[in-house]
Amino acid sequence: MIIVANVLVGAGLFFLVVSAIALLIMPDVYTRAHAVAKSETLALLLLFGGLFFRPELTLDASGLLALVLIFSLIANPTAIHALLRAASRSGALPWTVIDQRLADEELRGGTS
Amino acid sequence: MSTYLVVSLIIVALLIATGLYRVWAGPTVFDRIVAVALVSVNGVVVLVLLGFVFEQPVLFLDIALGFALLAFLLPIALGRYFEARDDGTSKDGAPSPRARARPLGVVPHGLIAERGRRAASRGVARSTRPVPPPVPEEGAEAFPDIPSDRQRLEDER
Amino acid sequence: MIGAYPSVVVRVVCALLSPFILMFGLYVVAHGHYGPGGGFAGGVFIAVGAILPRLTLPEELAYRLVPPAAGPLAGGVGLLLFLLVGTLPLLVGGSFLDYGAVEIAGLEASRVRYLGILVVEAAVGLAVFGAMVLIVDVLTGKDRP
Repeated sequence: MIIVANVLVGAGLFFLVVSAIALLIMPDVYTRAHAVAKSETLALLLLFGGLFFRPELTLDASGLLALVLIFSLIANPTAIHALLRAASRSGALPWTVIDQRLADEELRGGTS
Repeated sequence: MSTYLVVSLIIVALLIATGLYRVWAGPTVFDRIVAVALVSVNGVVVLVLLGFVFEQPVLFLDIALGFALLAFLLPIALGRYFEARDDGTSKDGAPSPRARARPLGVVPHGLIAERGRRAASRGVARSTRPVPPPVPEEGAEAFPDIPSDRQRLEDER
Repeated sequence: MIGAYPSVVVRVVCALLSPFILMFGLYVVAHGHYGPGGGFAGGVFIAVGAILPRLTLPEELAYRLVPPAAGPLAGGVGLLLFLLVGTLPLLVGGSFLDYGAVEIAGLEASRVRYLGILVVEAAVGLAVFGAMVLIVDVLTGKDRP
């Protein structure tokens, strides 16, 4: 039981670390929000699912933990969706490869 | 008190610090809000893990649920604020003040900013950049297509 | 005055979640003796359950769920209830908010104190709920009815 819990909590921690690193190194708001919405949701599912196997959990605490899990699974992607919709409507530009190539050429002093 | 949970608690607390760095350094306001969403999710995880470490799960899970509820309100309210009201048009069809305002998210990221500095050092005045198209008259589309980056680069040359 | 949220995802999820948030607020108010929370936090949660429809749903629907009159009404009733219950021990010789001084036949002092704390928590929750809904209504331009 405790081994299952530790493995699931470790997997959840891995995805939490991945999303935090992605938030640091991704180039624009859309990719960062992608990391936060998907990876964090999966991490919450794994981590709280692992905590269900812990011996400290009493019966009423398991109900509350299920409530926290279900609420986070619904609310986290919705919040990011609302934010990104507002960002797109406000004119935040996505990072593109063409953009980078043109900028590199101009940095080398090439075409102009 | 489980050592495994204590170590994972410390790791998640460090992840909160990385999220706070993005809040501090994020180029646009949406980067900051996305980082705040990550920080609040990690805060919920920290509260739940604290409950398991102290072996009082019910107490800390109450707090975690309340924190998750309040953290849900923030992105919804801020998205509501930055979103154009009623799809950008008021009842008589005119563009709303929000749609007329300068786009908030257009803050150049690193490469574009570097390009701008190079252009400035070559003596290209920033004011030679063509002004954005004027506000559409009534009945026009509320959200004109944002010119692409390639379009902007070619305009600048 | 601010209209529906333009995204159907946010509308549906907020309409789905707001009654549960309201119920959690009632739980926090009633559970304030034993756990974290109490009147203030519970009032904030109940107000969030009323503010989310105002932010996301069409305004006629949101104002039908929690009418604009609920803000001033709940705030006033909560404040009045708090003052009445708080000053009740003063009339019988105790100090402010000292419910043990009130003697009710058939109830011992600890039980009276328990009930007094419960009523005062509920009053604080009502006042906080009314104040937050009133602030949102004033800021979004909805005048008093």
